[in-house]
Amino acid sequence: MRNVIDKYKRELVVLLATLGMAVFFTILNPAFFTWRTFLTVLQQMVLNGILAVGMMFAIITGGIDLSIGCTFAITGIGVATLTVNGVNPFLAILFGLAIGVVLGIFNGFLVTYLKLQPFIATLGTMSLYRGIAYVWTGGQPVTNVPDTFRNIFNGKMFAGIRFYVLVMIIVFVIAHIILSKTRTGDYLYAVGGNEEAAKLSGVNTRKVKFIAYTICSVCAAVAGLVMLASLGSAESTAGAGYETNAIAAAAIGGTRMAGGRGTALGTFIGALMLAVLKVGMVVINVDSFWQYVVTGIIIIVASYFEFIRQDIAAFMARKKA
Amino acid sequence: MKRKVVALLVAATMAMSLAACGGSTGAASSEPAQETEETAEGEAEAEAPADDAEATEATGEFNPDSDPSAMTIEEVREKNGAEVAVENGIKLGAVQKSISNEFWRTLQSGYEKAAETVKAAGIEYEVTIDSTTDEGDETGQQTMVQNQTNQGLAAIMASPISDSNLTQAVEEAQEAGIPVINVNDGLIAIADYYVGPNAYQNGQLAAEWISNKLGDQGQVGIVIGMAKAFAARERTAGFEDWITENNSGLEVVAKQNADWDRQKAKELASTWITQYPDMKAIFCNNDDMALGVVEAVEEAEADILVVGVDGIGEAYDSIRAGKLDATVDSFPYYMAQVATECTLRVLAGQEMPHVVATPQALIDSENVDKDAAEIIGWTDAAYVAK
Amino acid sequence: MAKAVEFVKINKRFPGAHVLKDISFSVEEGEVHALLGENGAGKSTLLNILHGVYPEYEGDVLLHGKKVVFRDPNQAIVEGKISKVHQETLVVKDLTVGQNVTLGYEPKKGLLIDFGKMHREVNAILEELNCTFKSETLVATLTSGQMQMLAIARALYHHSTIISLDEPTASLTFREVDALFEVIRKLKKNGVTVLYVSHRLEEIFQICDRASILRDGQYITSLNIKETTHEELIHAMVGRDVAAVASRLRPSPQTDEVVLKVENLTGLDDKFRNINFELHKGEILGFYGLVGAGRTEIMRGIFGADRLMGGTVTIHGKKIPASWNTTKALREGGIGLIPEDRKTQGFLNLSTNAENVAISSLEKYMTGIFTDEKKKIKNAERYFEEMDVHPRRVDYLTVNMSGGNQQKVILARWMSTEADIIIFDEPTKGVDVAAKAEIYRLMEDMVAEGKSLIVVSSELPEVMGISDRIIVMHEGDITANLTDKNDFVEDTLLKYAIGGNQDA
Repeated sequence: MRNVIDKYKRELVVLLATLGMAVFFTILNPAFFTWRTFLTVLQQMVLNGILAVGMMFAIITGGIDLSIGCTFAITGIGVATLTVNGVNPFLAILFGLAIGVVLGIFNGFLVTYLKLQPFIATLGTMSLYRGIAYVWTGGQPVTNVPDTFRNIFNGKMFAGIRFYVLVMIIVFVIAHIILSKTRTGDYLYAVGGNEEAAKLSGVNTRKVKFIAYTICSVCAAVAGLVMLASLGSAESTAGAGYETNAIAAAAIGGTRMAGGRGTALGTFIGALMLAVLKVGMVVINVDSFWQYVVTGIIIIVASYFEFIRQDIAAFMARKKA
Repeated sequence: MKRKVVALLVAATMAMSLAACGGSTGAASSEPAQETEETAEGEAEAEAPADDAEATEATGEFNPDSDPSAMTIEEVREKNGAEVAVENGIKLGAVQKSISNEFWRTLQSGYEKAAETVKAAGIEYEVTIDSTTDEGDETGQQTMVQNQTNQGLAAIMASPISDSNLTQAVEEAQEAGIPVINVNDGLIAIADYYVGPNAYQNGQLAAEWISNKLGDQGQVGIVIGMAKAFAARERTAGFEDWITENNSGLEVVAKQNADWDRQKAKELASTWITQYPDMKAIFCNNDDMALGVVEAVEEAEADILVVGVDGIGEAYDSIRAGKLDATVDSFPYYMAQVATECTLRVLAGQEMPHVVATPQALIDSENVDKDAAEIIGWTDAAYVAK
Repeated sequence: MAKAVEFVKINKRFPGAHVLKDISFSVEEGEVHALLGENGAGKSTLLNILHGVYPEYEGDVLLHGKKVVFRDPNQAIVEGKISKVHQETLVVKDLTVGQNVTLGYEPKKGLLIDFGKMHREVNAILEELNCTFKSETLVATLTSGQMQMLAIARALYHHSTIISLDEPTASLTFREVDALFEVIRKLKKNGVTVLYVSHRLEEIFQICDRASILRDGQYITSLNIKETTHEELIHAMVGRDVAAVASRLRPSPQTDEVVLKVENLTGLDDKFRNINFELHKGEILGFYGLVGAGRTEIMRGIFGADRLMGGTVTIHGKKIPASWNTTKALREGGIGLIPEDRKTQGFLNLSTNAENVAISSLEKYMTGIFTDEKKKIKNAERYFEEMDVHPRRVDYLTVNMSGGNQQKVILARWMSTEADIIIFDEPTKGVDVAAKAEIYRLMEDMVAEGKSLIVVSSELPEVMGISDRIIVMHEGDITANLTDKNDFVEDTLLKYAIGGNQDA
């Protein structure tokens, strides 16, 4: 038990803070404490959650992927175009995931083979991929996506929970398994913790980074699919700025921005906290403009908390010694 | 065992402090929020004048929606005569925004249609149209105006991204003796003329329609776009003011921003639907957001009217499919033609009002399949060679 | 004579390491005083304390009889009149010499820099130092010798009475060294006290008056150079204990079987060229050379960490392909490499000991398709027991262990793999004597198991004591391949290391 608490201390703290936030919103507006509101929160964390868990993989290797919003848009457009033209929805989903793989591999190529700084490389592909989205559609939205596709994600399971919530949970579970139970996970942390040392330990650092950026893009593609199902249409402008929220969720969840540390559970809770905050502020009727201010402050406080935690840990260690 | 307890205690304390932090920031912000709410109410009580004052202040003493000298194009044609004399070989420029948005693409085809009309009258005429790819490229748009100024065009029709991004470029154009006609949306306070729909009025149209449909009773929400451009603010103000001015039974219970983003609008509406089971209608600052809200309403199987603004094709489709309830179309296709006509009238030396209001109409399932020209009673301008 | 610098019972501790122990000695005014010791003896730490880089330590530093405590090097320069000329001089390359010399303390005319005055003053100093470049020269155009002069000029600009030179000749040509010594003599004549740190004993005898010797963080003795011989100095520096531990206790299990064959190996940027050698099964092959000889680069090339220009490497009779990388070197070649800089290249800073041991052999700790943390821990615990690692905690972060134990963690990493060719790069750098001895024993264990080792080292007693054979390198070339243990003599090795050829 102590081991588990130790291991997930950070996650626990953020979870408690999120619960505290929920209590706070409930005090101001009891309507917050309902199953339906909880469902709303769950549903609204889906896109950011999926994007954030992907982003976390890039960040763990010491990089970042700014292009996810654009990958998200391209996937939406691509799959929408196929389904509108009568392609089998499951085939279209595979195609969407393939888009994620291809765009992710290209990011990986820039970062590993051309040795570009991830920030710059994905800043470039951010514009490049957005441009592809514009060129592909001529700026026109792709509409009237058939229900056969939409129902795959939008259908209800039980208690009003929709399939796309399950999709998110599956994504997080896979991410958790990759990170904590596979060699790839160990390599990811190794590359992020100290790339040169990892390389000199016989870790194929290029391959590991390729995997990270590909996972990141595939997550963006999955989010794109969910978005498409949810809206029934795709636009080339979709997802603009979504990368910042994804980074925020990962950071709040304890992902170390310099790489080497981060968990699926933490990112899940980070995304949950942002969703609680978003829904809560609407419920207690915080003015739109102030929502930005509050969100910003929460991100800063939550991230700063990592340092406080380290200080406390160091203090405890000193006392012990 | 002892260490276990300590670890737990520490975790709990840290969590409490973070929660306290989160709590206090939340509290601090909710106060101003309430204040704003109160101010909003106060404003509503004070009615239109207060709002006008605010708008005037914000846009440098110019608000086309409250300009008393504003005329429609029909009134202009009546006053100055139907015929427009056009110099042979004249070249105009048009700068607009966000070609990825259907509204602006339609505006562009309107400029092209106007060019055809002029040419059909046997006049040599050319219009150079530049557009930015998205809503964010404020400086790029400025460069476009500067380029057109350097090309020595006879006049420039400009639709700015924000109220301020083109000011400097327009000044330069005016110094070069090129008149600038501000076409819709963002306001250029120093522009020579303004041509565009009355955004305040389209908010009023939406409110009136919702009031009729609901028997003037019920809760409504407003999804706003981040108020960068004048039109967005005016749409909301027109909607809210109509309710107070008419002592309507409609009640605005929620008003939140969704950044013009369809997904965000959908998420916002989902939250509202949970929170306000009695919400009867949602007014959105544009169709994109309205289409997102429609998805939320469908998903929740709620009975809520959704009204957008702009009249994009997708909105029409959605109305036909019985999903979106109404949109206020400001007919960019005709707006561009009006703008072209007004510009050519200015160049012909006619005395023109400072503001020309372009046609707009509320579209719902009853008139969605009607011809637009019929709805607004459109006739092409009568150009003659000078 | 008065004392310029006096150290009184200086102690300095880093987490997990006591690097200076009760250091007390003094430097007299106007002398050139050498500070000698092996790598890791504590010279740099002591200099850093003197110059305010480490403001926290136990004991007192007295300058000209007065106790001083500096917050930072800048305060030491400006208030203490004491400057340090770094091994790698820090300069702003895009500025002129004058701007660099006066950086932060430029002569001002109102709010603006008085460039006229700056260049006049700096040129006067440069003239004094017999420099051929001017205050107006751009630093980017200077040679490394000239940059050293710039640093000295900076010290003089601040009227320093004490100047430390840390390995000043490491990257200088012979002519530049002569010029530097000329300057040092001049400084001495002007009453400046010079602290001189160098590995090159010849230089010590040429230029220094006295020498203080540190070993393993302890002060050993101060010697008057004129009354001292090479042997005495070396003896004091190395100490019998280290020479004693760096020796083979068991007969060499070396065979004739060639496990690694390197032919015409040439590196990028001409770091080394046309390297040929063989490694035999059960052999410990020493690689000796001065800093910059290209040894590390060769090893990285063989290990697939860096790309090669040309040449072939044959491992166990198999020629390595062009797509060679560290992963393949480990999996297909059975090579492991223990890098020189543990902190940046050796262990994973954020990982525990168990993870650091396991990272190169993860396939061993699987249960089904998933990795099993318990197996990793068990494996690490086994090696910790075997290698006597302290503290015996596989759940501690490696970064918090002492140098010697960190090295054992990395050794355990390679022992956990199937690698049978292990390359050690400076295996005992920053490691205390006791741990050194243990590492040498582990090396003997490894060859006894049939593994083959390459030991790159700059420490003479180590390379002489532990190797079956020694290859000496000088600036990218092999200058000697010594198979006869009678040739394992300091003078001989040094001769080849500074460029003498075996055939000559």
